[in-house]
Amino acid sequence: MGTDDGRAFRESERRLIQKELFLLEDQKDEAEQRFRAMFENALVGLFRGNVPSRLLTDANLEAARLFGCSNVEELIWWVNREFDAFSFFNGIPDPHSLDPGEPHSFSARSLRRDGTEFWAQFSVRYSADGRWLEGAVKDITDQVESMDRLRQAKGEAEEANEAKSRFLATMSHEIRTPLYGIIGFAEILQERNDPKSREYSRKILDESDRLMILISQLLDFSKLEANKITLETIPLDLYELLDEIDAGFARTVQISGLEYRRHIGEDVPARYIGDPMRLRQVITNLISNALKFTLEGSVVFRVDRVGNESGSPLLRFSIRDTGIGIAEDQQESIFASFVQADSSISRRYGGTGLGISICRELVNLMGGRLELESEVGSGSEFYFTIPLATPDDSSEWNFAYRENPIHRIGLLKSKKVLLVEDYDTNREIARHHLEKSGCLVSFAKDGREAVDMLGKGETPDLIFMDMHMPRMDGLEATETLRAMGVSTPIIGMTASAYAEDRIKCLDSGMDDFLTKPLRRATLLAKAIDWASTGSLAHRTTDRTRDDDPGTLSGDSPLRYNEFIEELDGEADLARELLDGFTEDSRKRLERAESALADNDYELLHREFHSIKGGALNVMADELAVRSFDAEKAAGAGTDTSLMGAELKKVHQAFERFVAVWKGLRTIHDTNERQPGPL
Amino acid sequence: MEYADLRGRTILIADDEEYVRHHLSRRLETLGLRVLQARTGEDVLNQVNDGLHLIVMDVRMPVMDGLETLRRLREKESTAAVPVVLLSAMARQGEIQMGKAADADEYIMKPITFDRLLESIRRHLR
Repeated sequence: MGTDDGRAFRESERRLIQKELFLLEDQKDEAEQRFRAMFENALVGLFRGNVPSRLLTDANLEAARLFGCSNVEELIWWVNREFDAFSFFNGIPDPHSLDPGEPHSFSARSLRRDGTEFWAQFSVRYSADGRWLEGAVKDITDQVESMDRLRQAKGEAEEANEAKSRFLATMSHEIRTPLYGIIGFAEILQERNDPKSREYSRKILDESDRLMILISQLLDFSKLEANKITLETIPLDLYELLDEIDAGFARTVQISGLEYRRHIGEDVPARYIGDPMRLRQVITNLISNALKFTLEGSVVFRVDRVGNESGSPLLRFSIRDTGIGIAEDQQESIFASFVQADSSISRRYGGTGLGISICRELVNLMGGRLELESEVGSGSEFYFTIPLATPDDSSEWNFAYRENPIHRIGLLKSKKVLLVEDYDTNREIARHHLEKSGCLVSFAKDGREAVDMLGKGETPDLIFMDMHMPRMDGLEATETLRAMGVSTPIIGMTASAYAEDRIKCLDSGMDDFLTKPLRRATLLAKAIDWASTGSLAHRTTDRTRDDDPGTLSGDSPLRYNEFIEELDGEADLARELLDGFTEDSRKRLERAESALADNDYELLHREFHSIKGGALNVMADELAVRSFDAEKAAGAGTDTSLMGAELKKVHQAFERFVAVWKGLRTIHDTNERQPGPL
Repeated sequence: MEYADLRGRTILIADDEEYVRHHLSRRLETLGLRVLQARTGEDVLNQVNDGLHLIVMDVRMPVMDGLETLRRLREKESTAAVPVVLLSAMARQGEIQMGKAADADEYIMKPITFDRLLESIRRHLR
């Protein structure tokens, strides 16, 4: 056997390999059977198609069932005879458009053998060699249909919510209109000498204010819910704002007997760009709550600078009281809408429970978060930290001093004021205040009537124009009047102080707007302002109206700050107008020189008249007064030497104006970092 | 692949390795064949009858090896025409010559895949 060792070894090795080979074959079989079983019994439809022949070659029972066939053979037979695999599964991408192995999913309306349809979701991919298509298919009809139902339900819900918001907005407007009437007449009653009348009308005003707040809260709430509140970015004087807030609470504090203190950190700047109305609303609400829920002790309001955020000071506002406090488990819920910490509280203290949730939303919009720390019995502290941008251009803020125009009320004497307002009550109130100040008031009950009146030659000095009127609203009427060349100042009257309304007013050609309810002080202040300055919309054009510079003191070369204020802080516009005026006046003065040499008094008169009008517009008082004097002298045919003296005075006034403007302009340009010669 | 021509045919697998017999039997049976098994040459001779269509036989078997069994089958008139496929793990040139010289219808060297064997079976069943 020794010689057979090699043979025996090799033979046994071959036998072993044979067994291993068969074992592998068995294992492969089993694996195939397992996978085949998985394929066949899968709960999703699976299929395989041959790309070159476009034939469906394999599928599982679930696929057959989905397409309404009783077995796989029926499906394959049906698909290959009636269609081909690629047109049958419509939506399958072209083999060239898809990388091998890259899966692609899509949904398609698919056909069953019995002709009915269903929504199928396919996931397919091409084999590495691009010759085979493998895919899975699912019936997603239920999902698609429930998605459709959801979408429809969502649309309906949104529509309903929208309708609710519109309804709330309309209702609050409708409620406010008569309320404004009540407030207006109550204020008129305040002028009575009878102390009872004054006391009762004061109470009517107080109650009306509370009602106004509730209505505003409802409107804010619906606006917040619809994401319709955007914050303004306009000049905000914090100290002024806080003073106004304090003034508003003075009476309440006095009556309550509580101690109210305010601390402002020394490093808190005064001037910002922000939304003064909304900031005031939040602070007012929090202080009002603090006063309401504190029976004895104090309310302390603090403003501190706690850092910077991207260049803006971070301010922490805190309102701390020694009131009833809020239990910890109720602290979160008071931020929810309509909820007060304890329902018994609403019976005792009143209120909608909307205030705090509105405050929190507004503070969120401002980039902060309203927080609360409180302990039952010892009080609460509401606080929030927000970044407040400071103005880049200090010239925007040159108007620190704000004159109260009421002392110039004499200016309104014999001014012709046209009131365009469809609501009798508001007409009554405005007429009362204006006539008492010496105005001659006429009325139009809507925009069209106003347009007709001016078309027939009426020349009011001032127009108050309601925004919302039948037939022709205030915006359309203003546009029409401006198109007719009417340059009378027009002041819009709106029910809301939102930015969008203000922009609409100014865009239509109005000079200003005031917010209802009509209060005596604001109404008269606007009337005085505009009766004395004339329309901004037509500042650059010659005016034919005879303004009376006699009411001006005549010693200011340029009231720059007030002029900017008149332009809503638009320094660039001011520069444009002042530069234009300078240029124009220089030419007119040259023409006046030669007119004097030619003894052309008519031309002289015209040039002085024009310079006077422009000077009034840009608030160059001295120049206006000198030009007016010269205009009168030219009109009276004064002799040439005296006329020369008048012209010289106008010249001097003009040079002083130019000097002042040149100086201011340099500051302005430095701030803008783009210096340029005058 | 058409399976119909194998259906109902009877085949005898002769190999002393039980695993090999079982493996081949199971696979052939799933194709519809009737499979008999033999461990030795004697077993083969005992089971040969008119109904047998093919014999697959290992050369190396105890007591009576494949070559001897083949010789006896050919001697007997009733079994002389049964196709026989010989399998062999022996690899020496002399042995291969010997196997080929025997009157088998085909002589195949182990190891062999099932598919290769099936191809031969089909060919010899005609």
